[in-house]
Amino acid sequence: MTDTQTAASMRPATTQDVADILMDAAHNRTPLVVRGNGTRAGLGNPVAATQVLELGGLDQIDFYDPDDLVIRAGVGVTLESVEQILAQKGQYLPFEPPRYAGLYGTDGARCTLGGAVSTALSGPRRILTGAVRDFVLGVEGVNGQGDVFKAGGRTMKNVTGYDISKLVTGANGTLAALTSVTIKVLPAPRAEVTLVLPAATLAEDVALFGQMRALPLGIGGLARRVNAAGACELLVRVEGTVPGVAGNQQVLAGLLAPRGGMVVLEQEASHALWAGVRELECLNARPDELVWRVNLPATTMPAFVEQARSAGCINRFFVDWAGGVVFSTMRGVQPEVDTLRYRKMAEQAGARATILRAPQDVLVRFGAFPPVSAGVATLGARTRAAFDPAGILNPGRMTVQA
Amino acid sequence: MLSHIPQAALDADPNVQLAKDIIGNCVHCGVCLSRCPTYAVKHEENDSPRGRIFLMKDMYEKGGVPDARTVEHLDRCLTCLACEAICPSGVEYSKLIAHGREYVEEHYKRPLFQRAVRELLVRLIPNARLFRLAIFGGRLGRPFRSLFSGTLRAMLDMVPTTPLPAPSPVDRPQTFLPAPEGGRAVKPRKRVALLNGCVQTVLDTAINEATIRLLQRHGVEVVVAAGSGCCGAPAEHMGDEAQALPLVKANIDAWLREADGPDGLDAIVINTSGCGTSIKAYGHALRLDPAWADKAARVSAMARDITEFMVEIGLQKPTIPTGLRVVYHSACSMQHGQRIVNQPKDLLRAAGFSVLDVPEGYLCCGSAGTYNLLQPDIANELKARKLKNIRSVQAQIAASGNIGCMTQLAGEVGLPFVHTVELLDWATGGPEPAAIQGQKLAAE
Amino acid sequence: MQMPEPNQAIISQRDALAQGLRQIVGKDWVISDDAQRRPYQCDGITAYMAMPLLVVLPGCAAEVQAVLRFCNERGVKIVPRGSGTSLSGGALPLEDGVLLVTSRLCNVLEVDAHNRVARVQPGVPNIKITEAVSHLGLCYMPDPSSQLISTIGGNVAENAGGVHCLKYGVTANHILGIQAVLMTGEMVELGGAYLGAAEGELDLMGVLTGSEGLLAVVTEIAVRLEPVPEVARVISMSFPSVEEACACVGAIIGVGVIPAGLEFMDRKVLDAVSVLIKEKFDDRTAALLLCELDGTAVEVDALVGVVSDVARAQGAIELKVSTTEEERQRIWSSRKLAFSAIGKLCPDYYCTDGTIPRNKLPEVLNKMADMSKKYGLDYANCFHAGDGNLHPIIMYDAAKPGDLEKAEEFGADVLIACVDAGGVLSGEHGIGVEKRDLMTHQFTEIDLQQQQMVKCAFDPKDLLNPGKMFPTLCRCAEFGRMHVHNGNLRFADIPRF
Repeated sequence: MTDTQTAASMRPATTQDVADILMDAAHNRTPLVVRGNGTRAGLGNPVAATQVLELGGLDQIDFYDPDDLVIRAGVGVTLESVEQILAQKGQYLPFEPPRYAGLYGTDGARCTLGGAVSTALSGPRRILTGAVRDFVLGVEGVNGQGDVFKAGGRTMKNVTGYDISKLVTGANGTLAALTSVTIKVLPAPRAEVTLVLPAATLAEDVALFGQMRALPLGIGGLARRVNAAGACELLVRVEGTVPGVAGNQQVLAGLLAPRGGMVVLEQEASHALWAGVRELECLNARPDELVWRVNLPATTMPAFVEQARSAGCINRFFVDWAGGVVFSTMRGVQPEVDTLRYRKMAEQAGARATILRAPQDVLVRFGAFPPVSAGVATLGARTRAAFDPAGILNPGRMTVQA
Repeated sequence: MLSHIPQAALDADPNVQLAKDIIGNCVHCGVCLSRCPTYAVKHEENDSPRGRIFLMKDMYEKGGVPDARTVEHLDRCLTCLACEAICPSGVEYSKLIAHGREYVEEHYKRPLFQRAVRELLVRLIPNARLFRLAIFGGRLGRPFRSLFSGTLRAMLDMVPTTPLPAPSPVDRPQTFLPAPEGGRAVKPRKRVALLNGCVQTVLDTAINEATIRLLQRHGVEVVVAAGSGCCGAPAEHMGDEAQALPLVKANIDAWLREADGPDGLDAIVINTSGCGTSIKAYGHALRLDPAWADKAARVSAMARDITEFMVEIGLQKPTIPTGLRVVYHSACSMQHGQRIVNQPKDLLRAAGFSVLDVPEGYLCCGSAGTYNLLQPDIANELKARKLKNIRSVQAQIAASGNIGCMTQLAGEVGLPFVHTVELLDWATGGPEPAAIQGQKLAAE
Repeated sequence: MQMPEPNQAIISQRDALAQGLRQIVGKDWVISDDAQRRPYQCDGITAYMAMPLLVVLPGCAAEVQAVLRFCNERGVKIVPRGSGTSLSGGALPLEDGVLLVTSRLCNVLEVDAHNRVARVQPGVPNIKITEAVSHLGLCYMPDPSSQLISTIGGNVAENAGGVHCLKYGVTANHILGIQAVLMTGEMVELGGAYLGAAEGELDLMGVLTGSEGLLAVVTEIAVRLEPVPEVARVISMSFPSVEEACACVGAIIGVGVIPAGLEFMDRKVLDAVSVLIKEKFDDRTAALLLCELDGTAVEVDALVGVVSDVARAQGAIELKVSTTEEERQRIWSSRKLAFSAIGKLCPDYYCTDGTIPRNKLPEVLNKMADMSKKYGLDYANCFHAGDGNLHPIIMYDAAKPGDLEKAEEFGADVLIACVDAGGVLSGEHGIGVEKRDLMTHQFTEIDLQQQQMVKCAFDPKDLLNPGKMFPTLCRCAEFGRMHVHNGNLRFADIPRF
């Protein structure tokens, strides 16, 4: 029970190789760990497999058509190189994919595009531009029987057959070993500023977030964190055209004036700030701590956080997505007891609590991902079987065996 | 939409050929459903314009006696024509349903009770004297309303509880000269005939009086033509062409006598949009009758709603700009039938009122001529919805340009409900409308 | 166009089935009468008609569950539909199937302004969501042209687009949660009423969206609400050639501007429209682009400048920019009237829906001109250029024998050309029955099998809307059992229809 370096590792360079490997594995019912370069192997449950299929070698760019806002590349191409290529044309990946390399102690430069799709991790810009799933136009992959299939396409609009591209996004490699993905990209905003202001109570801050979100001002980030100096602050990112941002900044400055103490960060400083937010740096997670992500309605967040803090389930935390997500650390003293309590609190708040990082035994017992209803679990299992009847692709990665 | 109506039926009746052409224009896109009041209530395709077009297509394709279900769904149509106004393909639903109903009346034998009720309405409404008598009878019957159901009960419920106004002297045939200016007679700018109508001369005489004053004040000579009267719409809505046509022809004769007389006629002014829609369609109704086609077309071309006419000649500056908040209820026959949308509101604004729209303003109030009597369930649901929508905008006065809607809504809306011309008349120097006098209007 | 053979045994049980269903939904909401079933024979495509076995209009989600359970137990097929506006025959009834109509499920259940979410029933017309939240300065962004009446449930089933999806995305990008009932009557809740409610689970909601009613019946939807942009302005740009207009589309996006909408109309459309709007277009104009820009006033003014410069550089001969809302509406009216204007030129028209990479527009448009000659049918073009979403309008006369078939073949050729250019069969209308038999042109046998396996996971008896989307029926049992080598046809013996 491991997916560490000791396991036998296969690193194919072509789709056909992937298909051959999987056909064999299906035939022999050999479970496989499916991953890109393994930089986010700590996300999700440990996989019960000794062989590793690494897709990081599929790293070609098939095409990049800036006028058509679309790029297709092998899943192994690194996020860093994709972002560089796009930046040359003033474009970017709108879902602002986090690496979480710091969290898992891996090399962020090796994080792959395929990994971004498979984990469906979306960054702070989610509230404005959308999630990973909103930008995956098409995929090619190999299912658990060794069949190469494609789904979706390269056009912005497409209702041709089931949207399997969405289904495999965030499936953490449990449906197919993806080989290439087609991604919709966007022109990067020409201007970006971040307004930093002192935080008030959680409830007051969430109310303020709500006010700002109701305005069409191109707000691409609303977070609340403790800064390096230990002060609690709100971060408001405004982006768009140069004159647009200038105008919107003024409107917001007026709205936020009563708070006082506003600092404005422009361009590079703003980028750097949000890269830190994206990577959960402000959480300062110590190695012995568990790291959690809780998605919930912003309006229920303050009460939830208060409750969890007083119960000792949250050690440090910060909120992103205008209050709709809480990232927190949990002391590793009694992780099993606290995990159970925290999940229960989340459930009662209608929230979804995901463990981003924890000791293996905790993940094995409780599962990284929050439980789903029996009906959804059954449907999910049947859907997995539709791709991988032998159950060889990352078995148990997303689900806890009863 | 392709139909397969037998050639013999097409050859035998030009109206069937017309129906085929109209059906052919429908692409079944469904946009009409969004505006249809019966669909809003029933949520059912058969109670939508698109569904009724389908039903009529089948009715003509099969020929012979239409089935009871088809008749039921055609009967439920309010003929509000919201569908026609929104149709992106220009389907002339009004003509289709009119001929469809004629076909039903010709081929379908209604149950005895239905026939009696419809006969009664067709005869009563156009005749002011009979109508007064009926209301008197209704008052006697009212205490026993719980014994009745359906249409009869709806009729009793419609009977006004307040005393009827005495017949107005303005509703007799005569000519009104423009108001003198500085004691001197004024040469008329325009000469128009006014349709005084049937129900209106019984239920609310103030409307015609205000119209005449308003026109006189604007230098217009107004004729109430001898021989003109009910426009024929009540009978026509029930598919009863035999009852409708003599009324139509009488009007045409009366107005053309004036138009061809020494003083001529610039327009036929109508202050009830239901009647206006019907008169504007005279040309179509008689297009196949060589003796009448041209004459009918002339009359239709001269027909104007009072608000259209006032926009044409320009409204005087208000002498009493009240600034009151008026919620304007546009009758279906106004906004859909005649596509008059902005004129009444523009005039009210010009007269110094602040004008509010009714949410879901496209939906019929359920009055629809005799509909509220024949289909009381749907009518009442629509009425309740309309009342709620009107109340929701916090107005001080409600205004409309159609007596039918006013009768349907005035009693329960909780606001003084007046005709648009009464407000225009008041603002430009006429008396304060009776419905407003002594009322405590909602806060400014 | 062939449909699966109706099951006569089921048809013969109509009265008993009607009786059973009446016990679930009440006697008024099962339509079994011949005359009353007829208006339900087709959706937005009148060329395909079939008499539904029964029409059922449930009044709540529990009734939907009970109806599905009832039909599942008896092996009766279900065709779900909203307002019946599908342009691909997706809601075409089956003679041995119950048409399940969601029009009574038409309530906006909850508006959560702070979290910018509304919970609605599937039968709510798209526009009603925006109407319900406009007083809060919010709206529901996807705006298919049928939005006055097409239901949100139908929008989810077809993953509907619209003029503004270039900037704001399609239906799938605006759905946060779905409550749906499987054919067995089992209810599932996917996602929820907040952003991120579906994190950490398989995106079953994603695959349900755009599944054309083949996987489950949606009974409740949580949609994202957006703040209404402060201003919108439209630029009308005329070009002396189709090629230059097409090049301008790529050029605008290339400079980093994502318009709210970018629409194309060819000369034929302009001529037809000019009669209706009583406005002449410049004689030299071969194609017109309408480019809408929205945002804050300052931002839009800046973008109008940028786009105008691009258009001039691309050879635009005339630019008109709206300065008031009335002008904007007037400029848009030509686009809005386009289809009815074309409708006046011919007895019938057929409009299809392929999508291609934007830079392939000139190539595919040229091919269309050749096809028009081949089939002897006239056509016009009016489409969502910004998305590369073509809507060729093929003119024909249904009363002329063979004309419909020619129009369909013409349409199929266009779609094949779209796929060959790297595009897809449908951008927003869906596959339905209309494009069903072309699926093999876009997908391999394996691709289609993988899709049908998904169908089997949701509806193993293949009772939900069968005969749509796929050129063969599902054989779920066989799919599961077999393992055949890559590329080989697994079920060469499965009959096609």
